Amino acid sequence: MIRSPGAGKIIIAVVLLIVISVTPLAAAANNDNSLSVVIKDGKTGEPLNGAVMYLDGGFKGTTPAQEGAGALQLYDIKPGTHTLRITGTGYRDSIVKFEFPSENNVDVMMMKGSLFSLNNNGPSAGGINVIFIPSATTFSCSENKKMSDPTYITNQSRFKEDVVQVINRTYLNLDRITTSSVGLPDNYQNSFNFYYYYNPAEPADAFSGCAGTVPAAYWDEVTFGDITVILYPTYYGRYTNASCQPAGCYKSQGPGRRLMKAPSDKELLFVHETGHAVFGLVDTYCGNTYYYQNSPYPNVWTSPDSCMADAQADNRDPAGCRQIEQKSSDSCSRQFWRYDPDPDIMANANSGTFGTAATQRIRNILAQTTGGLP
Amino acid sequence: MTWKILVCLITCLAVLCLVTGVHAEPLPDYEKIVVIQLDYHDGAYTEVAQHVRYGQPLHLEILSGNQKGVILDKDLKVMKTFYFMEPGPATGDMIEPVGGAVVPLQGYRETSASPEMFITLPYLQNMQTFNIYDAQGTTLLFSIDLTPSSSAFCMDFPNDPDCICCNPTSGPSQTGATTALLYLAIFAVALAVLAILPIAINLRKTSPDILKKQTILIVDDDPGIVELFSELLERQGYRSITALGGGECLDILTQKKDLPDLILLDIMMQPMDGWETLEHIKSGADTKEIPVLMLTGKQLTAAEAKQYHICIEDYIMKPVDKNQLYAAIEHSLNRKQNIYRNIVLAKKAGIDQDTYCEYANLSKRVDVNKKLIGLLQKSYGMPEPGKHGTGDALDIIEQMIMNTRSHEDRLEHLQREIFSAFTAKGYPVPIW
Repeated sequence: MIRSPGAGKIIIAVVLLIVISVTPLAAAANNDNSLSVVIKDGKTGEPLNGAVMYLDGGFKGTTPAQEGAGALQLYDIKPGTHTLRITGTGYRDSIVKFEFPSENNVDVMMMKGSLFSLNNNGPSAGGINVIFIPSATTFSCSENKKMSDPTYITNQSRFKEDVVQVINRTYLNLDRITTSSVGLPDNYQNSFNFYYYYNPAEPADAFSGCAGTVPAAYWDEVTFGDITVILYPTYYGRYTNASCQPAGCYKSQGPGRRLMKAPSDKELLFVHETGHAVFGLVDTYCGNTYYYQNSPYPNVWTSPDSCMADAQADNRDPAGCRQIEQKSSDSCSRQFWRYDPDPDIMANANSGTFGTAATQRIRNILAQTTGGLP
Repeated sequence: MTWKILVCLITCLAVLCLVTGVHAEPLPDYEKIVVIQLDYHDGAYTEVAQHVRYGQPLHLEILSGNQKGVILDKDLKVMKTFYFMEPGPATGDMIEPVGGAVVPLQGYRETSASPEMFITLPYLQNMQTFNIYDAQGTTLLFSIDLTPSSSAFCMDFPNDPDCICCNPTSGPSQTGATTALLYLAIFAVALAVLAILPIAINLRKTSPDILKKQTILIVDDDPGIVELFSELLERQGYRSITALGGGECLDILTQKKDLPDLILLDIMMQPMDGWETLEHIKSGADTKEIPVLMLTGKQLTAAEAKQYHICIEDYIMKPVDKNQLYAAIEHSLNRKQNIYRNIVLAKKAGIDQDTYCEYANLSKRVDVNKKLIGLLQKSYGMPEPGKHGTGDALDIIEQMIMNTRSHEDRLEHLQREIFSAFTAKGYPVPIW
């Protein structure tokens, strides 16, 4: 028999490849302490490709994309209680406890997540995380009652469109509503990671309390929210008495649970609430609100002296410092001082801009997420 | 020249091992947060709960407020500082003026007497204490030991890298070492293979059948038929061994050196016929599980079917078409392999072995009985339903039909149970 000259090389290569592929399998095949994990989509029951598995906190692998997808075999499992953690893009993390060896087959059903990124290139590592969630309620001030509003929870596209529009006209338009002489960091638009959370079965309620409430499942999935925005389409009626619920509100339940609500059709009110929620700005109108000197770069001071001292330090005219007061039939004054001229967004949600003091604070916050000041 | 190739291959293999070890797995995500739940009443905090969980942290650096949070390590060294607002006040805004007066915004203040507070911190290795001070950092308002939540987390996730320090006997470093050892072992085995490669290649030259083929024992007292079937089977890729009679067949099986995977057994042989040979095969502890296909020119009698149907895998009439023969052999061998393969899955799916074996046996019985009933009906005709005493053969056929239907009912019940268990586990349903 005549063999081709390359036959020997081919044989050697084939044997080596076989050894490489078969040795781990052979080792595994002899292992009785094996665990079979099958990962499926909780709704369709289809095997889930690319799911990442951790056993007792240690990374164990990713479910393959080819035949047999969704299944992973683990070896050398010690008897006792173990914890599996499964993660998958677009799915909620799943944590499953099991007893081995009595449970040597574990099925994990992964549920689709409700969080969707709005950044074309995905979220950036240092970006401020802003998450929008739809409300199923609104309020009529003329009728003084909370009403259901299914606009967003029956139409995901409409909700997403309104979210994108609000983002474009507010967050990504900050350079036009801040004081240009102060300036914002270059590419400040990249300082934000925008998401929306959409689960029509569990919407937010914008009128449960001042700032509204979100479902408990939201906090399980969103651990990283710097601010959560409850959005609703519109607020009905005119303000008539104090029993009416506010159209916009901000409330902090601690770092990680900061909520604001606003209607999508009142952009400057949305900006005003964003001033509270994201940039830590304080109301500059006189009313039943919460005053304090925010630091650093305050827009409200506890004394005229501290206001003027900051103004001088920032090369601003100290004469701009004035007490928070309202000259009207209901005379109002507070023992706090402001600097930014009217129309000031933190005093007026119908018109205005962020003045010098507020813009300095906004600039400082953005600088911490964009790598520094220009 | 050969050694240059070998050296090159070893180098490639080493690189492959390293590359595989480095890139086979995506970067795992171990990011964690600490969530502290507090009650806030009259300016005083009390702990409600604390836990560590997987998740991305938020940006503490963009927060501001009238309270200062400080994360400390076990030596009370400051690890992180940030500011936040005390819980309670919510600032709301009305957008419409009152009665035409120029009031751009109306304030709405909501204050809870004892609000809940959730503080979400990034998990930092060695973090031990979290303190809350007033904004000036002079008055300690609250202090919490984070050890309980870290310990609870590491109980559930001992192999997490941040828990390894507390549990040196386990963890990813061990996993990494295991992986490294595995690839080292692969490399060592590859070297060993290279060492014996010339021998293997030499063996390959002299013995083309290194890989084990399935072996079929052909038993017939006609040497011409034995030779013909042997050639047909070899051509199909099987290995054949032959016996010119029942006695020789049993001798081969008694030696236990080369037990076949399947036996093709003729019936009309002298001095020991096929049925007697079959009885011996099925009475041997080592041989009773070997599938036997009766291959004969003799018509099957009802009495033989009644007596031996449980012992055989198939009954093939000569002359036989080679494709029919191949199909019958393949069907029997696959059934045997599937039973062995699926019994492992059945156990994992929660099906007890007796149930599974009953299902496998009934499945085989129904399959074989239907074949035998068909053969008998060709010889004896169809029994009339409900009309007993029409003759021994027809009674036997009718009895076999009734038994088979009964088996099928039971089989259907078992099939539902087993298929349901397999489907629930995502296993392919067993097919015989």
